[in-house]
Amino acid sequence: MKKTVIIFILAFTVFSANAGNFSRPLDKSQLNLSAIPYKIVFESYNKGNWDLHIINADGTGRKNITNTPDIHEMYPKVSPDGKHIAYVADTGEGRNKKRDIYTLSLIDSKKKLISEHSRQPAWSPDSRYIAFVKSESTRRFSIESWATKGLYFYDTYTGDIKAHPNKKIEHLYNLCYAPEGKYLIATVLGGMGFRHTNIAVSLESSRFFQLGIIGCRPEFSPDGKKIIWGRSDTLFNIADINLKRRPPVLNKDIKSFIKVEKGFEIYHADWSPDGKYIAFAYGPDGDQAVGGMAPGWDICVAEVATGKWTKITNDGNHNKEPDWMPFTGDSK
Amino acid sequence: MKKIIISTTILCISLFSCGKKDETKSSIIKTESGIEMVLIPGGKFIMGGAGADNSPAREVEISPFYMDIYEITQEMYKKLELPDASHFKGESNPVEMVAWINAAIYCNERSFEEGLEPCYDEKTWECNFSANGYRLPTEAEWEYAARAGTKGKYFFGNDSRLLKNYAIFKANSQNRTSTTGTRKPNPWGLYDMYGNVAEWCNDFYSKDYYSSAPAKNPKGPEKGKARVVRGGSWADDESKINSETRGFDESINDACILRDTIGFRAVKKAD
Repeated sequence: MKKTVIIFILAFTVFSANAGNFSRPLDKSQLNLSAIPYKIVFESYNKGNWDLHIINADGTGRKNITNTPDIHEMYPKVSPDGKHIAYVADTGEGRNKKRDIYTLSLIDSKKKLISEHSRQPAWSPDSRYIAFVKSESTRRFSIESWATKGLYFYDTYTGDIKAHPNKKIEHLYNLCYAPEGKYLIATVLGGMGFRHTNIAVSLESSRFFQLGIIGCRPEFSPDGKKIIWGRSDTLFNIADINLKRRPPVLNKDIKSFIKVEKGFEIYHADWSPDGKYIAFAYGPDGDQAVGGMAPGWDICVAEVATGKWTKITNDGNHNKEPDWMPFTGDSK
Repeated sequence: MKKIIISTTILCISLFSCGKKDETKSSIIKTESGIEMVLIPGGKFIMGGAGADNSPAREVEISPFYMDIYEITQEMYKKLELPDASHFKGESNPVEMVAWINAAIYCNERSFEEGLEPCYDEKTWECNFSANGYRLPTEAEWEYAARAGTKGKYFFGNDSRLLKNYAIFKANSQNRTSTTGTRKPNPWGLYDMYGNVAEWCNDFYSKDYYSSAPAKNPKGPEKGKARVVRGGSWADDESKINSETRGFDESINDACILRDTIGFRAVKKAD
């Protein structure tokens, strides 16, 4: 109880101190990153190709796990049981490019095609289902994150794919399961009657409703009690969330978490499995979309309690879309 | 493929160019995609006004080109199977929530569809003005076409009370876009040059550009962080709805800042 109170006070102090002020990455020595028992997987672009890299949270032990010069692997999402990574793979070039979803086994390194012309995979809390959306057009490739239609679920036990009962779902991106497993949250742009908002989609019916936040790419904390999202290119907010309430997020509960100066951007926030850290991408003005060029972007880690953050990569090779993975014990 | 079908009507219009009255004819064509364009005759005009970013007003010469009669509608956009994020849905409403790059992609796709050479390099987004495909108008072409040989603030004169007859804007829009072509066209047969959606131009925006721009076919600064938009939208009051007021926007490639007030129309070279 005493520990909870102290964390709350620390967090409140940081939120208050950051309000209206921007922050910059600290020297790595300012955070005790070597104590973090998890790895991070992310996308990185080098020599004309996107690959997936794994790195320890302190920036050591970086490894390219795809190494495919003719295939662009991006948007990695680790299953909660730590056994697989779902990701998108782009093949072809320009307007003829094609984006498909695969899984990579972290046990035997086998790859498996999940769905063609598909993107934005998200794992169910029990690691059984992969939710995803399909590319809106197969006539020509679109890099736009929102250029999607429908919502689908791949059953890793049976290989079956089922469509969500709401056939009017369109333009969703950044899918994220609620830890209780009954809802997905996502951003929607120019579709479903909305200009741009964030919604929760019921997995048990065709219902959906707005979260009550402005911005994009909301991500649940592991306990399902908070979300983090990008209020703008330069600001992450954190708020309490209760999907049984309308709206699920109340204005009074929204706190500024990290704000960076104009000319830089922060994107792709992801909570660590223990809820203590946030991984995200940071760099000068660039394209945050999957496959978008973002020179100078690096992966960063922030402490939720203090708001302190630092870069854990420094090559600036368009490093984006970090996703925490449970510690597998092979290099720590 | 040069299968442009020179279709119908020959519109007899009067062209006033730098005070020099010139009788010319403007023809409407229907492209292979089924989209109507009008031939904008070449000529000279006084571009700009007395505002902070549109002065000094100066004489500019424009080569002839074809311009879409209507703003690109959602039906036209989806015909090319391009993802449409328009906020105000309607097949005949203009497409909006479209980043500048996606407007350029539309132009390239329309070119591919008709077997024409695409104007935009999709890696650099530089425009090849000598290609025979579709592109966005330069800012100078847009203003020249909007003025349609007239010299006033509006192509219908200087009485702003008449604006409601020619434009969907804040006073009559009911806070949304409207079916294209429901108001009167300008003298060259172009609809919705004022209002409905503001229109992307090819140019990067620079507030000082007019003082250094070339006198013939100016194409805008070489670099920039925003692109020019013209004509004002359903959300603008009358101060922004005219032939000379410049606008700009930074939603070149960023989905997070798309506007439901910006759309576009395409042009292609005439020779």
